[in-house]
Amino acid sequence: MSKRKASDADISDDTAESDGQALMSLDLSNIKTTPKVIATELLALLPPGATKHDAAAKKLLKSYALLTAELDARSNAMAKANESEGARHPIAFWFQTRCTAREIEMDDDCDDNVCDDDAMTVIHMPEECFLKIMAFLNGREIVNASEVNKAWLYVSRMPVLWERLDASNGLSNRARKMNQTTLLALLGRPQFANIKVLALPYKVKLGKATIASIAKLCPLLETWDVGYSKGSGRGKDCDLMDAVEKFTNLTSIGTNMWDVTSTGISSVVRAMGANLLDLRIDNDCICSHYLHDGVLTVISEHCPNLKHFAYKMHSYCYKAYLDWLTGAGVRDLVRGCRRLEVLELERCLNIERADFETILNMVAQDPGSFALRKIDLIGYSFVIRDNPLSIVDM
Amino acid sequence: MDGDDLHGTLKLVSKEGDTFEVPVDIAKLSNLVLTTLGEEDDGGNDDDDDMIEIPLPNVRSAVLAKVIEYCTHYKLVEPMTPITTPLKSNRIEEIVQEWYANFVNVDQTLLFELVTAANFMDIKALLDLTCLAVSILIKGKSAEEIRRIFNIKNNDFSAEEEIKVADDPNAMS
Repeated sequence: MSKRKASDADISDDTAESDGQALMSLDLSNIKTTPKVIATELLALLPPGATKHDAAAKKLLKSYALLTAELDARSNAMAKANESEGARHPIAFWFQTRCTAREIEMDDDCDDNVCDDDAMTVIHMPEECFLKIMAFLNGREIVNASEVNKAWLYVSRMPVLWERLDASNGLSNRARKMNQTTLLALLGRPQFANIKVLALPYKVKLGKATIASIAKLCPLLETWDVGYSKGSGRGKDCDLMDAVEKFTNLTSIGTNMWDVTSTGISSVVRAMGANLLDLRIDNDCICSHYLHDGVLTVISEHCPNLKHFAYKMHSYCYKAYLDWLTGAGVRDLVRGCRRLEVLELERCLNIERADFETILNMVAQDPGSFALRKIDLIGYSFVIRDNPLSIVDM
Repeated sequence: MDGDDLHGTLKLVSKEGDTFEVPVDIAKLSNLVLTTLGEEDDGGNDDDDDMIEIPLPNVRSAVLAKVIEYCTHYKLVEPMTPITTPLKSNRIEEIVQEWYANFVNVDQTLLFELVTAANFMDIKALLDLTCLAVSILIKGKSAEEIRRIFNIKNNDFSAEEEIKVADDPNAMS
């Protein structure tokens, strides 16, 4: 809060000292004062022909950033005040009394005049019930609901409602305005303190410091998804290792292989060991990083508790001569990770029908010692049905 | 034989004072009933032959009748499929069995009364189902639509504040 106050003061100081009378004469409430008019006035303050690199222009752009930050801070402060006021309001729903069951029973004698609009039934909802209702909504719907009134706003900010932040919850970066700073500001909001699942949005870069800060803001994080679901993450091998080190409750990792190599994934699974329950890898093939059998062998040796493994390959830019993932690797994985329940493979073209037959035979011979119950294949001429696992041609 | 009767049925008394006779096994779906029975047993005060009566001063007869209908179906026909999140569908018919989907297809006042009754009587499955039904009314609606559906008057936010909240809360786009 004190920082916000400081930025407020900074702006007023700036306006008092430097900005000339020309700006003061601008009437922002006048419809004729369009953004273009304001921009023209501001440009007139700069030396003729100045570009973005001009010192004065830099100052002007910086002041715009301060302006945005200040307005954001005010919105936050107002929302916060509304939220704490909402905590004191009851959650109530009003219904036309004529809608009650009793009135309906007597429908014949009851004409519309009797049930006048003023007769309302009020139902007060205990907070724990309302939370349960809200818990069935996704993030976007909770945000919509938060605008109903202050009481709803208060409930919508409760951390129990926010266990995951991902694209389905509205966390995206389509406007590409999100960077490390805005991401940290977002995660710093009190309602996100208990987040367990975080799928980073499109094109937000990471680094050791950012990952450490996220780990501090979201200490309960279990699932770290950099570019597996939606968008291309920009995690590197070292970022993944940093995440493994910093997130003490981590059990699930999703990544794409844009900047991540087989070697990196081997190190990560070694470091995670028995803690790893879920590993999902998306290979967009553009950067020619491919998973190979060796990685699956490492997983089978180090991750006895793995429950879910997924590897997706895309046809775009696929280079067969770089793809060294074969049936032998997957066999090792299934043989080593006996708790594996779900295996998802997409377009792993070197793994053939005979390989899957071998795996299914292996499982069928000793069903008691394998947890495998589902193999999802995409991009093959056959699928594997579950219960019991069997190959079916399409 | 009186003892058998005692364990056979009990009486639930609604807000209006109407008495509903319900088999104990069915009524036990309510943790409130379960706890009350536990206390009665501990008392060991079986000297009168009357059936146990549990007053439910918050629950109207029409609502209590629905609650008993739910518990009876749950115990005698088929238990409800547990509701898990994230929801696999936005259609209640695809989440629970048809009978349960139809059960909450009632007018909104009754639905909300069922929520509070399920909460008061502590019947988890019914609370899950009714809360789900309410959340489906809210799903995909704007704040203004939600206010209209539930007659919530907007005397809380000023227009300007509302825009600021909309701007801010979890500002993710």
